[in-house]
Amino acid sequence: MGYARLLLTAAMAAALTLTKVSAAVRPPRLDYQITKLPNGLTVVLSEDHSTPIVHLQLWYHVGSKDERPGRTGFAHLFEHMMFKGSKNVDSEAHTSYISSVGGQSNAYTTDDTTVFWETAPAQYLPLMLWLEADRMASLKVEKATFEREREVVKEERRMRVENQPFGRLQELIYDQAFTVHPYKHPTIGSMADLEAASIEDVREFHATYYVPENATLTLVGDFDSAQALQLVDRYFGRVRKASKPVPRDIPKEPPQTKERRVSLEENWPLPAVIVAHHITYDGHPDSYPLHIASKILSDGQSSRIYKSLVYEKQIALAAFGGGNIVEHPNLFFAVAIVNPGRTPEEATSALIAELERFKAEAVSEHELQRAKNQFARDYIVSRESNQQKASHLAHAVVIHDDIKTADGEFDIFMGITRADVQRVARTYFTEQNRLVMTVLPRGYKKGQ
Amino acid sequence: MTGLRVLRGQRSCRADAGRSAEAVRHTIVAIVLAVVTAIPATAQNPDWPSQRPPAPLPARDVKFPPYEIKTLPNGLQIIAVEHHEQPAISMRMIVRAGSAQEPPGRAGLASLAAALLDQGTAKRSAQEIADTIDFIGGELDTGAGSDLTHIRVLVMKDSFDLGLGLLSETARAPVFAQDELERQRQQVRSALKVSYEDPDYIANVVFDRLVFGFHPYGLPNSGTPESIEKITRDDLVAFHRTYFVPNNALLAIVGDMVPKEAFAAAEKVFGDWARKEISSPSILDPPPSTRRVVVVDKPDAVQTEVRIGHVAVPRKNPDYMALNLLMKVLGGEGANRLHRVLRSERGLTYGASADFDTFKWSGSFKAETDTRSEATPEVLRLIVEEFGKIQREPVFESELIDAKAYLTGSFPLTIETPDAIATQVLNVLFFELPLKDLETFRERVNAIGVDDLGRVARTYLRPDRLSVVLVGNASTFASKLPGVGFGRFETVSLNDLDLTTTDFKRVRAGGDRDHEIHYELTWAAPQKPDASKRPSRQAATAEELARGKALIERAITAKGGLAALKGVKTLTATATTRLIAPQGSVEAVTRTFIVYPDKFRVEATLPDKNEVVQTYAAGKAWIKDPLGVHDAPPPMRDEFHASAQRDLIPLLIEAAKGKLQARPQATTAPDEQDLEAVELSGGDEREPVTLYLDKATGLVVKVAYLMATPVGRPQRTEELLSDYRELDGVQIAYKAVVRRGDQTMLERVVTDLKLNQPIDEGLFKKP
Repeated sequence: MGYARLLLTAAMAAALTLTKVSAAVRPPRLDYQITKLPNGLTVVLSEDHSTPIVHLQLWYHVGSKDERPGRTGFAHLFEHMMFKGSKNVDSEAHTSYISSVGGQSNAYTTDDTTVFWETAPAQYLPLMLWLEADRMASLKVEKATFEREREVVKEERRMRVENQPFGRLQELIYDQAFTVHPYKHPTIGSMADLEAASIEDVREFHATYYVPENATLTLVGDFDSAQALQLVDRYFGRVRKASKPVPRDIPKEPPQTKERRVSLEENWPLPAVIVAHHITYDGHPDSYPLHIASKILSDGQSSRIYKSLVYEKQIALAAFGGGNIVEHPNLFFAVAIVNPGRTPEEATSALIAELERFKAEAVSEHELQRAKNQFARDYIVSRESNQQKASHLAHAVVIHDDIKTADGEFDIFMGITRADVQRVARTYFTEQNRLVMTVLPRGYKKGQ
Repeated sequence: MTGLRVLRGQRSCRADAGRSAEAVRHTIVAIVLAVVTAIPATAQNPDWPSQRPPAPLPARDVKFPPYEIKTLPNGLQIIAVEHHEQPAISMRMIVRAGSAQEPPGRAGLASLAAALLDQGTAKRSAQEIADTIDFIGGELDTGAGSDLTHIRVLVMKDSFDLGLGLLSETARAPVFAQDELERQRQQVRSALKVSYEDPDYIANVVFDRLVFGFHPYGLPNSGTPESIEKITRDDLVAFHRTYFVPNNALLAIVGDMVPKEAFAAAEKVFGDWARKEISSPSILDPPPSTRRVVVVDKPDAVQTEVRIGHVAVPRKNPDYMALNLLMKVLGGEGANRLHRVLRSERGLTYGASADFDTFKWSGSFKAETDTRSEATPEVLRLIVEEFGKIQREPVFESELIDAKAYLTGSFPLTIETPDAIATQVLNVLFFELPLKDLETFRERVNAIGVDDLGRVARTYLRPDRLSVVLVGNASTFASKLPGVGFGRFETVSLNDLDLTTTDFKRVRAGGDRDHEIHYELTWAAPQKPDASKRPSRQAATAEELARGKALIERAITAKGGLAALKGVKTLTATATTRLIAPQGSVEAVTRTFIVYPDKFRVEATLPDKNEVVQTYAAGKAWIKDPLGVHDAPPPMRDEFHASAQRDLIPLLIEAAKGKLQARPQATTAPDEQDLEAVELSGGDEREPVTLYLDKATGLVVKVAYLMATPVGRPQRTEELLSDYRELDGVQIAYKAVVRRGDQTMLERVVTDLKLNQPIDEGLFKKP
């Protein structure tokens, strides 16, 4: 998001804070410096000398929402390929180098980003930088390796999605809720598309997205910033600048104009019901009250959904909900897994009633304060490890395009009012913007 | 609210939580793939230099961070770790009671009790507790595992007292209200319904049952659909009253406080918690490993969940570190042979690993992976091959170096956060390991060599006795299992699965099987105590030898004289035997047939009418149980052999012949005042036995010997003999009690006994 918009939000928040003194404990600010190499690589450094280790996080601003129809699952498949060797590093040797010094390394892919990370004893910072730079600059792709890795990813899909009860829940929701925006398809992709991916796609993808100007390197841990910056420059400075700009032509989802109701069947042990609404993007002023609404709805055993559906009425085995607040407009959805003997209809009505309540009456002062205190807790306990700190910093840079949000959002949240929550509920929790989905076990009959 | 986070995690394909296959993405550098033919993906950096990896910077010294421990007068141990970076304090209480302490038929009790700790206390209702903790932005969670129950509270520093108060209330004064119990029971019921559709869950619980049998570790912590219905409020109250006492608990306080203040605050809320002694549980060893393959058929599965392994050792075993490294070579960080063979070389799976799980009383070796249905037989074959290879052949020095480098290098990563530090201290205290282990971690890793791995592989691994669980679409692979060497396997339909029956099959309505619980006789499977580890002593003096001989003569006379003993050729007896286990005791009727000096057969009929037969004949041992007839595993065979040698009749005859050295022993224990002791030893191949004679009668009333336990250290075992009766001129003890440590393991009362009845030799032949 843009810088100007943030200032406006912060000013708004500051004005609103005057009416309410927050009781939440204030976390310390992160200490960091940010710089950009001539080739476009963004570098964030944050020293923490409490333990002699360093965490490195390298974010590429590419995820499954950058994929074209027919090529779903590609960003994630490519993430796997990054472990298959580069000019100076043999296939699979990346992980060996790191584990042989006692470090850990891994990677993950989301809708918006692909993230590679290592944590290792501090003296191995040069090794970590050398390894990441080598695969950014000189990834090698071999047909046999690629085809074998594609089988691995297919197993991953079977394990995570197809072979687990409720494993396809999220996939079904997004497929129903979106029409053209790539959030419609799951990050792991479809089996057919994985099968269709070719080695040429791999090369093209690397050349397009795995370039310095599309990457953010964050280091947190026990190092001297001046020395670390020299090392970063030594290994990454020689990676060439991209020859073409990174494409950002992602189709926009048109607004939904009337309520959608769908019923599906899956091989699941219990029925599931979902109520979903389209919402805004991460960093939009409305996103903060929506986050507060998520907490009031579903954080802790005193939250509204738990108390009503699970504890008091015992309609659901599990029920939860909240906003999936990410780079592009996404969904606020609530799910209930229906207990045996209860009906999907009563679970649906109960979920809709809880969302409607946000519109009909303002949340109580007590609930609002509780949500803020819970937010403060999340904020504080998610900044304990170097890895967590690096994630916050990188998220601020890549998703918000403003590193100051890594600390600045705390005040925004503390300034949210009851009226803000009611306003966003009225904006987004409308009938025409709603998807109601019921997923029944195959052969399910009423009264089961 | 964890549900959404889990879902988000799945959507993002994040592999850093839970079963982290990505975290072990690895292969040895030596695999040379055809990189020569590889084409660079990008032409943007054609002049990228050829380089070796850079040298490290100077290393900083790293020590285990400071912590403080204080024990309150009531026995509560408190650990404090100070850390001021974030204004938060986390507290964790661990109570030494988990599913291992559940009474028989009540699997799931510990978990249900844990779930109810914060659902109403003497002071607050469930909703009041939730409101209180949520409003201050805290977290409170409870749970139970195999050996322990935990309560965790996280608060911001300004709510420290409130958080500690809540922790104290939930630990000390839960009310276990009936309506809350029903609510939780419904949750568990529904959750189990979901779990029973989850191949990963099914594979793990069937594996545990196979490996641990009806040992408490054999049934899932969450209970079974049957057991969960039987738990009453009284069970919960009794469980809590028995085990939730300060001398059975540990408390860690971590974060933005100073230890002095933490100890004072803890003393305020826990100081008046009354100490109460609890009897130490007598937990039998799991059954010995047996080769058994169970296929759980789930026709709609697209992948097969594979679990392969067998019983291992408890955490407190002196070979823990060597075994840990061995399993790392097989399937952990470092070499990870399984990952290389299955994923890197063949693309058969997303991840494969070998785990070494250790608990308080036992442990397991477990290889796990998942694969597309049709690849199941190949994956099974490859994993079993790797078990065989690592047991037979020495590991490569380079593999061990990698595994050691990972462990030693990772040390600073394991002390990054204050909670991680506290976890390490809690572990050491919980497993009663020396605290100095925390500082000597790297030295202990580095002390292990290739030979150590070879020794522990030979000692503990049994590739011929692996338990195998395959959960998947059986029609796609079952017919091909004989082709990879698994001709014998059992298939259970997922809909019929019952973890509480011997054959895993639910008894249909109208079935005649006992539905309650099916016990298997759990036999100790000790290793032989190591003769070279016996304390060396000075040679016996002539005076000692004379005194020893006199004691043996006295014992023989009291038992009926040498001629009468030599006249006993056979013994036939019927007895009632009670095996005492933590789940309660199992009573069996046993029939014993002995042909002296070295053959015996014991037949036991269990409460569920199942029969177990154990037979030993001159070095050969076999067993018949509900699974069929099979050879006794070597440790059991050795124990049978030792037991035949310890029989008083042949033992005294051997001693009289001078084949064993008799040496008097001091009697020091209070209950040995009226006894005289003599030790019989006969070289390295037999473990010394000490006989205790009643000073008044000369009868042997106690036999003591060392027997290795799963904890590794041989433990003294005693047989107490009483109710002597004369039969054909020989004195026979009609009652025997076997104790290990201060725990009674077995009681046997003879109801009928005859000497020199003809015994059919066919009884000893393996059918």
